[in-house]
Amino acid sequence: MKHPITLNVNGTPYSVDVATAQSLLYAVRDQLGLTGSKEGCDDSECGACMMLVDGRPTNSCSYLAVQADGAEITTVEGLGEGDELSPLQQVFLEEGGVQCGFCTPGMLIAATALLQANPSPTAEEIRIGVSGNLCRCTGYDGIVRAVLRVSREGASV
Amino acid sequence: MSTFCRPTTLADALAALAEPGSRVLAGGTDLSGLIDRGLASPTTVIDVQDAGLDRIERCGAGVRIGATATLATVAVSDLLTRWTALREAAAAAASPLLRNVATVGGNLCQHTRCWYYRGVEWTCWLGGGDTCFAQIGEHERHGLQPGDCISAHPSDLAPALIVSDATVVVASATGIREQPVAALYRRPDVDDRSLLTLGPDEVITHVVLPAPPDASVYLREGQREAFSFPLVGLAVARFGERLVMAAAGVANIPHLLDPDDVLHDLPGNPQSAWKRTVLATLASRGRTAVTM
Ligand SMILES: Cc1cc2nc3c(=O)[nH]c(=O)nc-3n(C[C@H](O)[C@H](O)[C@H](O)COP(=O)(O)OP(=O)(O)OC[C@H]3O[C@@H](n4cnc5c(N)ncnc54)[C@H](O)[C@@H]3O)c2cc1C
Ligand code: SF4
Ligand code: FES
Ligand code: FES
Repeated sequence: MKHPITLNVNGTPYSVDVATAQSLLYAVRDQLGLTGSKEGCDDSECGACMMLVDGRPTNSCSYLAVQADGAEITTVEGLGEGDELSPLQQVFLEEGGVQCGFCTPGMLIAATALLQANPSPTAEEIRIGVSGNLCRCTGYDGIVRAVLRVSREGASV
Repeated sequence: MSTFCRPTTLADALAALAEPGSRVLAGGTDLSGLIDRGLASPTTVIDVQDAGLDRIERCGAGVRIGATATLATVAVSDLLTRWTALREAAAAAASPLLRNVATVGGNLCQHTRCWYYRGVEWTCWLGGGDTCFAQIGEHERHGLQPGDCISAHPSDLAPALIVSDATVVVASATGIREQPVAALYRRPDVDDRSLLTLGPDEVITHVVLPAPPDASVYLREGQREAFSFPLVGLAVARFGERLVMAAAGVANIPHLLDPDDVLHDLPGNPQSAWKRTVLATLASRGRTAVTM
């Protein structure tokens, strides 16, 4: 049986029909065509699929689309303005927080949530904040530097 | 194909759960993966997050925790400052992100993480097959008790609640009962391979903590500091002279230890025997921590 639900993604409401077992990740990628969020492990381990659901960072691979009915969802596509990168995205590039880029959409979402909850995190707090996001390329230093810099510069994320 | 509902009262949730084939979903961090892999195929998924079961409140000399309270709220709740082991266990489980979503009830009822069970290619003994693949394959992270299923119990909360003498309130459309947390679990046998004693129409509504212990602590060894299941998780509490110890990661259900002989009943399996050393070390650290 399919359920009619509404997903408010990056400020736009989308009406979709989903099966109970459909993950939020695949509803957003396949049905809405927003493919910024990635599937790494499909088991809550890597964070590549991370989205904000009502402001809360959530592994969308392990969250049913029906659970998100009516919720406000933010994906990496919602961080910048059109082709304009957000300050956080820009410093990720400048500080070497991105290499292959696979973890980046989820990493940016985790960092956004962290900075919203704690605008001046320490390096340790940043490492804890992104501990649910695995990156096999950067060694995390560039990511921590980027988040520290955005918070120091006080730019809105 | 299954249906989904999100009742806004406990009574509605219980009525829905009385239908055969229905299953409770809380944070969904465990169940959605089981559904995804075909390891669970409920006819109706009942999301209880709006059923009003998320409060943490004082209750006599103790505290009552709603089953859908998240691990993150338990870890920081001011009402729980005297239940150190519980707060530490909640703060150590999974990752910050999962703790925001994962609930107390779901944590207690999560299924085994044994990778043979979770793999879709095989049906192991616990899943209804003939063979425990872990015993003929890799089991260095499995339990210390020989038996049909050597999986390692994954919940950090369960041992912490058990040593706190906590009970769970269990409701169904036909009534309410209360039992010790340890009685939620059973060892699987050939005729019944479930690890839980809950009936299919039952839901945990609350966890009740009686008066706090004089001291308690939760110690764990994981694969890495953040974001890994307990390889061994040990809760220790002291009520006056009485010491209580319980562990995750050493048997297929939470294991109550004899404080004077913590390795009793836990001979180890060929590849997992190293956990005996870890358990003994944690136990002596835990004993010191609560008696200082
Ligand atoms: C990558 C990863 C790492 C993890 N690490 C840890 C760890 O270190 N320590 C740890 O303890 N856990 C760990 N977990 C497990 C996690 O804590 C559980 O998945 C979570 O607590 C389950 O809660 P939930 O609310 O999401 O449950 P759900 O997924 O919604 O439900 C889980 C099960 O419980 C049942 N259930 C839920 N609520 C109730 C209720 N009120 N009454 C009766 N049955 C109910 C459901 O039917 C289902 O069978 C980890 C999980 C992942 C994915
Ligand atoms: S340890 Fe248990 S869950 Fe794992 S393969 Fe053996 S029977 Fe299955
Ligand atoms: S794909 Fe969701 S956490 Fe890895
Ligand atoms: S940049 Fe490659 S995984 Fe992080």
